[in-house]
Amino acid sequence: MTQAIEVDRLTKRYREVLAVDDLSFTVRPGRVTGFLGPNGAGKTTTLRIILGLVGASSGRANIGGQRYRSLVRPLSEVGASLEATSFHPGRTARDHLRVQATGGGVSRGRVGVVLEQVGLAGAADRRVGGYSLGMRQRLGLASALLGDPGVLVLDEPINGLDPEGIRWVRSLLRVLAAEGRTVLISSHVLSEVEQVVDDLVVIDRGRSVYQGPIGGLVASRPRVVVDAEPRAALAAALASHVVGETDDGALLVEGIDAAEAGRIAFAAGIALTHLAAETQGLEGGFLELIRGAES
Amino acid sequence: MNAIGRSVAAELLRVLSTRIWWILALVLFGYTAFVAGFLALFLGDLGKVLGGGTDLPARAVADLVYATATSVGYVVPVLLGALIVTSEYRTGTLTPTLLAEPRRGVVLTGKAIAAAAFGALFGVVGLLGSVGLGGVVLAVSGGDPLLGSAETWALCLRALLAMALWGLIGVGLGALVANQVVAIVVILVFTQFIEPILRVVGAIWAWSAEVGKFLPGAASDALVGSGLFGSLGALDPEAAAMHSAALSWWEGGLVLAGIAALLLVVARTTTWRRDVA
Repeated sequence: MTQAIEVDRLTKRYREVLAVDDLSFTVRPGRVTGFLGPNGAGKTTTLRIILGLVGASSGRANIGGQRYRSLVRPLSEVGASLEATSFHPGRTARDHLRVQATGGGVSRGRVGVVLEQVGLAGAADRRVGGYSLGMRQRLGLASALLGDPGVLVLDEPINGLDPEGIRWVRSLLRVLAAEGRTVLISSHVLSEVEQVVDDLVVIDRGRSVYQGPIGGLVASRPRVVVDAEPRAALAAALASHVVGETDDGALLVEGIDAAEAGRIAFAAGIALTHLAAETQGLEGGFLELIRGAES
Repeated sequence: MNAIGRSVAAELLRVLSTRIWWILALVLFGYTAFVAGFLALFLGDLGKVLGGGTDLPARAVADLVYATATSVGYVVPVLLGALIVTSEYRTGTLTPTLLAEPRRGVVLTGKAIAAAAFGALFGVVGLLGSVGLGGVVLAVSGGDPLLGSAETWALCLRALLAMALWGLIGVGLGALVANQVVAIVVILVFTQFIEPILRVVGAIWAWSAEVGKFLPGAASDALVGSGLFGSLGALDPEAAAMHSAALSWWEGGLVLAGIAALLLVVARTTTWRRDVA
């Protein structure tokens, strides 16, 4: 139950495209690690390499020191859910899990347990074709939990869930990490996972752009939104601090805080109609990383 | 249970938990019963009444009627074998399958064994149609259904073997092609169009008949001991001038097994190794 996921100088090349580029990171047990990046950043490819579904061009991805393909009973060591769509629409949830349990050498008794755990027991004998996206997410989680594994790898597990479902998944992930398991979840929206993750690995275009505790990811250049009548006078007073404007025309100011912006306007004799710190928090830091990587 | 055993059990469960296998079984039963019944009628009294008929011995008639389980029905286990692989690509379930058992060779072996088992099951279903309705029609129309004959039951056993081998061929083809629509089109076009034409054309010259006997359908007829094509000469006097060549039953079995092994090995070393994304 104390196995880490270690990705070491991983590279995956598809003809001309470098999907994963010299990527290294470690996912530690007992914590929830968020694996973030915009769509197309290489998250899913990396997860598939970790799980032995895709071969790496170079580098290694190990779980507890072993490649996924060398695990004797992989479902009992690593639970994974990669897509909410990889179910046969004509098969019931219970049968899907039975097939999975049989193939992975997991006791059939676990099927009922995980169905109960994810709240699908009542719908277990319906065909998956009639399931909502949220129910498929729950079935994916059930499939990952089937072998009671010490390591969980979940691709976009919150996508498609309703607010109640999101709360439920977050608390489940916290419980799983508190039990000492290694939990890796991917997402392309930081706000979706920021309440649940301890650590972050942020990638963009296959490269790591941030690794560390979530607290370390803060916008390095906080912005202030400020507006006045007339705007031109305010813009002149703030001069070079103005870096842009919001959708409704207010000025975006960087390099000074809200108090300083207020003082400058007061000194210029301008009455402000709006003054606020840009409320984007961690998402701002996240976007900044991605923007930084692009420029 | 070892890894292969787990894989086979999972594949059997996978097939049984969706509807396609019994839909195919029903189609197979109806189709072989219809063709066997029609042949039994045509080769028996009705044929004589219509001025056609045949002077075929009772043994040949019974073989021809009973072998429709394979000579007509063989496409069904090929389809199921191909679906066992390609539906995993189409629905994306190959991902959870390989998470449960990451060794690709083990998974493919499990699928092949399961497909052979379902092939044999389909053999039973086809024989229920061909021996069932065909035998009744033969008896009613004054012929001898030869149900007490050991040769009849030996033919049935060889038919089960042939259907199992066709299941393996389906898995090999499915794993090689991966795309479900392409696999189904290839199977239908080859079995219903290309091979029949090749077998007819092959019968024109002696040398081509010698080559044509290695076609999979011809090998299957040879293994079972009778088939529609091999009997064309007997059915149609004008076709008597056609050249025919046939393998012995065990040669036919080896050719079918060889085709299955070749497809499986080529698939294993090409498409089946590819990234699953």
